[in-house]
Parts: sequence; structure tokens; C-alpha cells
Amino acid sequence: MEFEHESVEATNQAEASAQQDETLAEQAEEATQQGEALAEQAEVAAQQDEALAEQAEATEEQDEAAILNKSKLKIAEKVRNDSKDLHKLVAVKALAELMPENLSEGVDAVVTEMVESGEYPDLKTVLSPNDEAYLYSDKYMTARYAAMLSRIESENKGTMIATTVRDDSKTYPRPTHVEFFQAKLFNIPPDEFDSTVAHMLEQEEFKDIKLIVASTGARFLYSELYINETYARSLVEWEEVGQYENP
Amino acid sequence: MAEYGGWTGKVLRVDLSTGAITTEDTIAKYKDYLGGAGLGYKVLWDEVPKGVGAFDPENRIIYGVGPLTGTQAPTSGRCSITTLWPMAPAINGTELPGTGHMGGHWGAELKFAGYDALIIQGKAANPVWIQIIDSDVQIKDASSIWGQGILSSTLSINQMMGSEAHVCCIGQAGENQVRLAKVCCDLSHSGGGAGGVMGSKNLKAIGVLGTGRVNISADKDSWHELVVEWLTLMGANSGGVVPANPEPWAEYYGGTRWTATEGLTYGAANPPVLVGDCPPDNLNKLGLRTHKGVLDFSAKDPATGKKIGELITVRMDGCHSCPVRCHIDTYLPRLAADVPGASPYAAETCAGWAGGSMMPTSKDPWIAAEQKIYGTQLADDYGIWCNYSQFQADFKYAYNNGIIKDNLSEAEYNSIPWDLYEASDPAWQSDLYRRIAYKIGEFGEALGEGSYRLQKRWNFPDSYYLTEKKNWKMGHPLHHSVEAAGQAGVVIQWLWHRDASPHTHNSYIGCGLPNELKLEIMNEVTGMPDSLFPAHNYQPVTAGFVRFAVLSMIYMEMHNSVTMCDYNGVAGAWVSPLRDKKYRGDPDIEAKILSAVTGDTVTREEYEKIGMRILTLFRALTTKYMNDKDQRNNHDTCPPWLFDWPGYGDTPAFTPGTDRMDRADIEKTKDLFYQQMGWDVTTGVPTRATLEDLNLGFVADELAKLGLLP
Repeated sequence: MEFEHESVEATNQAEASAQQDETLAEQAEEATQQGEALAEQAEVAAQQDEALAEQAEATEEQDEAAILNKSKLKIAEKVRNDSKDLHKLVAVKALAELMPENLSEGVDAVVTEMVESGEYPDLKTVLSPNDEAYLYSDKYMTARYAAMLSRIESENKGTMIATTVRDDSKTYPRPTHVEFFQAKLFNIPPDEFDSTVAHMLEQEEFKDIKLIVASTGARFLYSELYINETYARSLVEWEEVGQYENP
Repeated sequence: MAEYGGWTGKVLRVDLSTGAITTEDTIAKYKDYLGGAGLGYKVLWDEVPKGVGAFDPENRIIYGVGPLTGTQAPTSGRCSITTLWPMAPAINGTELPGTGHMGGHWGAELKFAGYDALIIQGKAANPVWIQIIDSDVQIKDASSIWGQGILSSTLSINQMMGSEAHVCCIGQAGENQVRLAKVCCDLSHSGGGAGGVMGSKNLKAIGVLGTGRVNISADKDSWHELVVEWLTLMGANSGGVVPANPEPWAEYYGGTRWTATEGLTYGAANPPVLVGDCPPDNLNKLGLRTHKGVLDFSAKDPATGKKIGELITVRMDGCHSCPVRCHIDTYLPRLAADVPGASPYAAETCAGWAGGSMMPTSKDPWIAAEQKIYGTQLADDYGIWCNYSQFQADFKYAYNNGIIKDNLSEAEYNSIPWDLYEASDPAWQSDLYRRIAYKIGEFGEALGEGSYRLQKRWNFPDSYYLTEKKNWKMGHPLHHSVEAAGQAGVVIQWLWHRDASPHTHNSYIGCGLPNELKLEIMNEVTGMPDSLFPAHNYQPVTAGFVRFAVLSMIYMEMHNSVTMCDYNGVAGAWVSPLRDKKYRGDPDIEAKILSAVTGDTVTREEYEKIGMRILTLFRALTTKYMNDKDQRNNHDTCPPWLFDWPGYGDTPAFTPGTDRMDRADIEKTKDLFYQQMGWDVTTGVPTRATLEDLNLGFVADELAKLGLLP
């Protein structure tokens, strides 16, 4: 029964082999499973890396926003203090020094955002006659006063004088005493004022501006866009003579 | 009487002929007229028949205060002095009535002594003064002060009564019944040209010392809240609600008496006081807003470039309970050195400084200031009124046109130191004022008669009424009339027989806001369109513009009756310095204040109706004393210069820049005015229906009896 014995042995070997195969298969399966787990782990790790990278990026952005906010606060503080204590406008371009060098946004954009967002409701901008932007706080300064200051910032004194005269002639209406331009706000020396006015009265862009002399000798300017000569004369005579005779 | 606050409940009456001193019930007799001018008109209506002259013993002089006087109601320290007005034309022997408006502290003191008014009648046998210490009222011999000026008389009475007493007094001009004489209290607060009436009664002065109080009906907290609200709405002197100079906090600027600004000082104070910036939200600086020195003395010192007014102002002062300090205390030591007898000190305001303006003004601004101050010192001591500078205008015209020379003897003319006059020497004025106060010669007597009589006496030519824009019609001057308010100003000038001293409308016009905004606000107040024309840019009259005039007159008479200062009154009622209120005031505020004080609640409409009553009673008085039913044509007249002044050139009426009026338009103005007042359009006399509606039925009855009712 050797054959039988051999057959039994063969059978046993086949069984053993099958078991090995099975084991191998199990091992392979385990290995596969392990590989999958590793892959998953790798993926998680990758995701974690990604999240960390995102976090890092967000932190960087937060830092920049904090810096920006700090700058905005500084800007607001300066504008408010200058409006309140110095009665002065702040040129937008002069605010660049309050901004960090590495900030991506420019000062113009920051100021625009500050004014338009409503975050700083008292901060307002005003343009000078030569289109330079200035900031002021309307908590301490009216728009009209700011507009007047902005004209002073104009490099062209003729423009400054003409814009002020037109504003008075239109708003009240009244001629503007020349002493107004020599007083503390404008502070133009009389000689300089006279030469400026003489020059501007010859220029086309100021052709509406007229000089009128009261009976007292006091000089006034008016814009004939809004006041005619007869009316201007009556107003300056009242200002110079009438009001003192009828106190 | 306990039912009302404000009023003390007693009117004091002193009969100088009999020596009788009595009191009567304010509420029973005068509540409908409140006090002040209203009470004065009622006394004249009841007690002074036509035919009585200003200087007759039967005339009354009524010192009227009101329910607000003596309270903390802002600007309430006023006293209205009503009488037959010596300078006004006399018709059938009766000078037409008038009221002087006196500030200072005398009025409030009268309330503290317990009186709503003082009525003086009769004539003392010898010069007297009246001492009032609460209920102790005495007629005292004035022989020791008769003949003295206002300064020494006041000081003498203060020595007798104590420094806390307040003195209302006349100078030598009043004693001598100079028609131009004035009454003054607290040395420099003028009550206008009623001084001769006191003199005619041999009454030199009235000293008052009161230890009482004025009760407020409202509870303490709500009263305080209301007073603060009123203060918050106020601006500066003469109604300015914007600063004179550009200020960071201000949207508008210019043209007002809110002159305070950084760097401005009371330069004669030691050390100088910095006035500084005075924004509207700082009520503690309300009293500093008006630095009037720089307006009344606006010439510049050549050495420093500063206005002389800044350099000579010690401080601004003013009247009882008034936060707006408009009275200027000055110190000018060089005046005392240059002019013998002059003082370095003076105090006055506005037209009160006109004392020296009849002279050619010196080109040296410091001498010009001396002229002004010395003239004022003399006028305030002799007690001579400027008649809102009409006196000075008449004088200059008469001198420049040879009228003085024509009317004086050669000897008299040459006795006047004309060399000093021509040299603008301030000292010249001592001769002028002495002659007027003592009625010396034709010169002194004629000038003291006042404009109406002076112009007739010295035959001023007809051209005077055409070429001199200053002169109105009854010897009173143009004052906030056509030059400020076109047809509305003309209406206001018609009613009274002195310059109306009207400021409600002028304060509104001069508040400093742009014309467009003023029009918008006034349209809201009147409820009518086109209620305001800009000064010097008038258009054909509108009902709204006439309503503006009517309201201004109503409020002026209310101010003179409750009492409250008409110079500062309008700010708050119609406009304010408050940007967040879009510069609106509170048109109800005056009614609220009166209601809170008296406890007798009135609405704004009721408040204005009381003003209508007072104004209408005054028109009835005029009708009665003139004995003329045609007020439209015989009283409400205009000087020819209004239409034909040569200075208007060919410019037609209603052209921007001219004040020229149009005759047909002025007649239409009268129609609208009488309609709105409820007066007969044909005659300008109040109708029975209107009089009865205003509780003045007894006036209608008397006018009917006299044949004067339409």
C-alpha cells in the first residue's frame, strides 16, 4: 500500500501546500491591507501637511491684517489729532510713512477702504484744487472748513483765491474782503496778494473774478458767475458803511 | 396771586403831586398785556387822554418789567419805559407815545423789591428822588443831587442806599426838559429819550433795592432743563449763529458779532484775557463769544496792526441774567491825558458810542477813538440821547450846509470853538453837550429839541428828505428798515414814532446763515412761500415777506413786554447754531419759557396773539392821540428818498443791489399788512371784530365814541 502511502503523502503534501498557499494568500492579503493602511496614513499625513501649510498661510495673512489694522489705527489717530489740535488736514500721500514697507496694499487703497467701509465713519477725504487727496475727521472739522484748508494746500494761489471767492459768492452770497486772505488762515503777505490778484485778473480761467472797491477804500473780490456788479457794490457798502450807521 | 409765578402781583404807583404811594393788582388789571411795554400802553390808554403833553403832570411814565424779569430766563434783565415821547411830533398838544428799552440790572431789582411796574404821575413841588427798598417806598428830597450829572447822582444815591442798590437817573438835560434827554440806569444803560419827562415831574432818580425773589411755577428740574435748552439754542449778540471768522467746527462764517477766535484778547485787562475759540457746544464760553470791542472800535492801531477795540477792551459786561455780554468796558489812559476832565474809563455799546460822531473823524485812529469815547462820556453824564445817531446826522448836515450859521447870531456862532471842531479835537464836545444840556442859546436849545423839531425850526430844505437816506419821517432815523429788510423793514418802521429799535427781524437777517437756508427756515416758520428776500435784493412784495415783518413786530413787542432782550432775542426761536438741528431753533421756546415761569400755559399761537393784542393796542393809541382815522395815509408814510434817492441812479426797483422801493408795491404792502393784522385796509385802523377778538372791545368802544373806528 505504498502507493496508498505515497498517495496519502502526496495528499498530505498537497494539503500542506494548499495551506501554505492559503497562508501566503492571507499574508499577501494582510500585506495588501497593510499597504492600504500605509497609503491611507500617507494620505492623512499629506492632508495634515496640507492643513498645516494652510494654517501657516492663514497665520501669515492674520499677521498682515493685524499689521494693517494697526496702521489704520495710527492713521485714524493722526488724522483725528491733527483735525482736533492743529486744525490741519493730513495729506494721504504723507501717510505712507505710517504703513509697513512689506505691506502689499498701497496707502491710497488702505485710506479708500478706511473711508468707504464705514469702519472709521468720522474720517473723510477732500480733494484740493490740484487733485491732491487729504484726510480730516468730521468729528472736529466741518467739510466746508476742510475744503477751505484744501485750497490753501494748492500750489496755485490764484486758484486758491478764486475758489474761495466763488464759494462765498455762491453760498451766502457775498463778496470776499481781501483782508480775509491776509489773515491767519491764509496768511498771504499783502505784496504777494496784490501781485497774485493782479496776475489772476488777467487770466482767462479767472475771468469771472472781479475786484470792487468800497467807498472806504476797502477792497473785495467777487465772482460774477453769482453776483453782478450792482449787487456786489451794495453788499460791500453795507459791509463797510451801512452796518456801522445802523448798528 | 399765589396762582401765578413770574409776576409779583403788585404795581407800584407814585403820585408826585400828592405824595400818594399806592399799589394795585397786576393780574386783575394788566395780565392780558403781560408787563413792560404792553402794560405801559394799557396805562396810557386808560389814564392819559388826548390833549395831554409829554411834559404835563397828567402824563405818565411807566417803568414796566415783565413776568420773566428777574428770573434766570436768558436776556430777561430789561425794563421798558413808556410815556408820551418828548421827541415825537405833538398832534393837538399830545406827543405820540413811545417806549425806551433799558438794560442793566435796575429792572430785575424792581422785581426783587416786589413790583411788576412803577407808574409815576403828577409833578413834585421840588426836585425829588424815589427810594424803593422792598415795601418801604419814600419820596426824598433831591436838592443835593439836582444839577449834577448821572455819574455823581448815581454814586450819591449808592452812598445813601448802599452799593447793592440800582439807580435809574437823569442828568442835567433831563432836569431842563431837553427833548433829547435820556434816562440811564447803572450809569451807562440808556432807556432812550424819556429823560425830559422825569425832569418835568421834578424826578431826578429812582433807587431800588430788593431782597425778594421771583417765583417760578415750574419745578426746579424742568425749569433748569428749559433754561439750558434756551441757552443751547442761542448764538451771539444780535442773533449771530455762526462765527465771524472761519472756525474748524463751523460750517458757515462771517457777518456776525460772534467775533471770538483763537488769539483774540481783552487787551486792556491786566493781564490780557484770552477770549479764544468759543464753539457752540461750550456753554461756559457763551459770554465770550461776542467781543464787541473789535466791532465798535474796528480801526487798526498802526503800530501793532491790532484793532483798537481789542487794545482798549477790559472786558465785556452786560445786563441781569444775560449770557450774551454786549456792553464794552474800555480803558483808554491817553484820553485822560489829552482831554481835561475826561476819564480813562467808559462803558457803552453800539449806537451808544455815537456820542462823538457829529465831528469830522480824525485820521489818527487813536484820536478818533478818543472822540468817540469822550463824546459818549459826556452824553452819558449830561444824559443826552443820540436818537440812534440821527442827532449826529442832523448836526453834520446842518453844519456842512451852513444851516447852523444861518440860524445863529454872529456872536453866538463865533462863540463856538469851531477851530477845535475842524481839528477833530475831542475836547470840542464838552462845549457842545454843555450848551444842549442847559439849553444855552439857540444852538443848545434847538439841537436839544430832537430831529423833528430841529428840522422845522432851522428850515431844513426839502432836499434833506430826499438826499439824506438816514432820516425817516417823524424825526426818527432809519434803523433796520429798507436797507436791511426791504418792504418788511418799511412796515416795521411805520408803526412806532421813534426808531422802532427793532431787532428780531434784523437779527434773523444777520444771523450769518446763507440766504437760501434762511429762506427755507423762514418759510417753515411762517408756513408761507417766499417769506424772505435777501438784503439789497428785493422782489415785488409777497404775503410771506409781510408775515415775516408781522411776526418780527409781534416778537419784538413780546420781548419788550415779558421782558427779554430784542437785540438777542431771535436766536433760538427761529434759528440756532446747531448743525445737527440743521440750524433750526425752537419756535415754541418763548411760549414754553413764559408758561414755565407763570404756570399759565400758552401755546405759540396764544403767545403770538398776545403780541398782536399789544401791537394793536399801540396802533389804537396812535389813532386816538392823532385823532385821525386815516392812519394809512397820514401816519404810515414813507420819506421820498425811499423811491427817489439820487444815489439809486437809474436802477429800477427790484434790481439786485438797489434798496429803491416802488410806490405801487408799497401800497400793496400796506394792503397785505393790514389784512394780516386784521386792520381795516382802507384806513389802517383796527376793526371792531379784530379788537374784540383780542379782548380789546373797550378800545373799540372808545374809538367808536371818538368817531375813529372804521
